[in-house]
Formats: sequence, C-alpha cells, structure tokens
Amino acid sequence: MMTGALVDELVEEPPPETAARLVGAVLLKSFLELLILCLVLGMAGFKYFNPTIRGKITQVGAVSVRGWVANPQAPGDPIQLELVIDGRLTAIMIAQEVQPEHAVGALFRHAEHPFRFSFQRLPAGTHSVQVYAVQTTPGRTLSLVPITNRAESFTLGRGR
Amino acid sequence: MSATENSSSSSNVLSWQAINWAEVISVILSILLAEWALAPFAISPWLLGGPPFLAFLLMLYSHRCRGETAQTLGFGARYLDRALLLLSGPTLLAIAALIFVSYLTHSLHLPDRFWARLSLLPVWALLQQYTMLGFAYRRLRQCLHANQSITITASLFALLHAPSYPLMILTFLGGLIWSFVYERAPNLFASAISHTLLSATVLVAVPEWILPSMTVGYRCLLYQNF
Repeated sequence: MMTGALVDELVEEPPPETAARLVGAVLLKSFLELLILCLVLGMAGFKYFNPTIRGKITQVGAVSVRGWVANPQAPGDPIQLELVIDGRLTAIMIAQEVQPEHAVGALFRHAEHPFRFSFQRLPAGTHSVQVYAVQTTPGRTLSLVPITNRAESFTLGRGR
Repeated sequence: MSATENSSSSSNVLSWQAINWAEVISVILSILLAEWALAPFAISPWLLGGPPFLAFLLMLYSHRCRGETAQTLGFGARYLDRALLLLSGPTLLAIAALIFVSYLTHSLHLPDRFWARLSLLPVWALLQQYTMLGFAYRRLRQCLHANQSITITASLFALLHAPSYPLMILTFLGGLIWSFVYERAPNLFASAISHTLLSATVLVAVPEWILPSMTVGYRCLLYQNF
C-alpha cells in the first residue's frame, strides 16, 4: 500500500525494452570495477612486494659468506644486511662500498655493494644461508627482503 | 487476458524486481569496494573514486532510462516545506539529545579541521541522501512495501558506515527518519539540511571515546587501532 506524495511517482513502471539496457549498464559497470580492482591489486603488488634490492651470494664457507647487493633505486645509499644461517640471525652489517669494477655502473644505477660476513666456524653438516636487506627505499614500506630468490645450501664435511 | 499474457506480465514484473535489486546492490557494492577493497592499498585517490563514480554514472543512466526527472527525485522546491516540517521535530530532538549527552559527559569540542569539514558537509550530505533516497529507496519501493523499503534503506545506509558501530547506529536511526519522511514528502534538500545539522552536531558533541573518527570501512580500523 502506498501513501502520501509518492503514490503517483513510484507506481510508474518503465517500458520492458529498457530492462536490457539497464542490465547491460550494470554488467558494464561491474566489468569496469573488476578492471579497476585488478589494476589496483597489480599496482599494489608491484609497489609493496616487488623487491628493489637484489644481490647474490657468491661464496659460502665455514667461517664466512661473501656476495654483493644493489639497490638500483638508491645506488649510493648504504644497505643494512642481516645474515641468517639455518633460520637464525647470525650477523648484521652495513654494505656501503661500491666495488671498483662496478664504479662506472654505479653511475647508471647499478651500484653493487660487496659484503663479507665472518662468523665462528659452523659445525659439520648441511646449512642454509640467506642474506636479508633492510628495505629503506623512500616510498616503500620498511621491510626485510631476501637478496636472492632461494637460500644457499651447502654441506660442511668434518675437519674442514 | 489469456494465460500467455498473464505469464508474460508476471515475468516482466519479476524481471523488473530483479533489475531494481541488481541496481541497488551494484551501487552499494561499488561503495563497499572503495571502502574495503581499494582503500587499504592507497594507490591513487582517482582509482579509489573509480567505483563510486561508476555507480554515480549508473544511477544517472538509470534515471534517464526510466524517465525520472530531478524534480521527481526530490531536487527542487516541491514538498520542501512539508519535508522540513516533518523533519524539524526529529532533527531538533536528536540535536538536543546529543548536546545534552555532551553536556553530561563534558565532551563538547571542536574537532580537527572542523570548519573545513563543515563547509563540505552540505554537499556530502546531499550526495548521500540522493544515493540513499533518490536512488536506493526509490528502487526498493518499486518492489517492496513502504515499511520494508524504509527498513532496508536504513540498514544499507548503516552497512555503508561499518565497522564504526556508533556511526552505524546513528545512521540507521537517521536512515529510518529520512526514508520515512521521503515516503511522505520526497525532497532531498530537506533531508540534506537535516543530515548536515545532525552530522555537525555529532562532530562536536559525541565524545571521542565513543566516536574517535568519522571514517568508515578499512580506514576506520586503522584509526581505531592507532
């Protein structure tokens, strides 16, 4: 039952042919919203999860780990590194030098900072090593990012 | 009328009901999408405003398809006096109650950027009233009884203010009153004036420990926690 001023205005029902146009409009809007959602999720994924810091572990041993790390978005800035062996934080250092052979490359945003961690001799057995960099690039969330895709695994024999 | 004509007429009614619901749900989902799914990423305000803008375009297109004019929606002087008269009682009563509570709790205060927010409130209130009454209520009213439409419109309005439960309660009550009055005197300016006055009073009168911010959706969680 309708009462009051709206009676005349609400009862009017549009012609049936406009139904298809309205359904089309709702579907088109949903499709565009899905595109916006995908775009935002893609941009957010790239912004927050794409590591700008990359590097390589070049040598692992019983008492040291060597490698390099680079942040193309802030080539001159020092990078804080954390060494994790077998899942445990073992050492922290700041990589800030630029390797002489990469000095020219550093000018073109490829600054590679060498690093070398020294620690007490590891026991015999298989170990995993990963180096994490503290992400401090402006505009990025402060976070720890592994410098390589996978942790390096190596086996130490007895007496080495 | 033959059986075939009856069946066709009944399927038309059903399809129109479905379209009315689809339109309302689509607009509500656009706002929820911006509040909950896009806001956390804070990529760009333009992208954040994308779904509400698309919802706005859909509403305009829907009015055009159905032959609804600004006047019939409630943009105009028609029913203004009657709507103001109907709204004045509940609005003044609510303002008095809020000020009385603030007096008891010593919570009368001027929040940050109050005057800037106050200057935007009338436009914001009109936009919300248009979406809630000029679009959602009218669509629901075409397939539901007045009381059902009023309750559902108020509930949807409250849902859009989740998870801030004080705001949800206030907007549900406000939604009931505005929809009730719109049913009898469809004028959006009157509702927007009432909305503006009540929002301004809530801003200055409700204690901060009850309503820390007027934000809704994901951002409300951020402000509540930090």
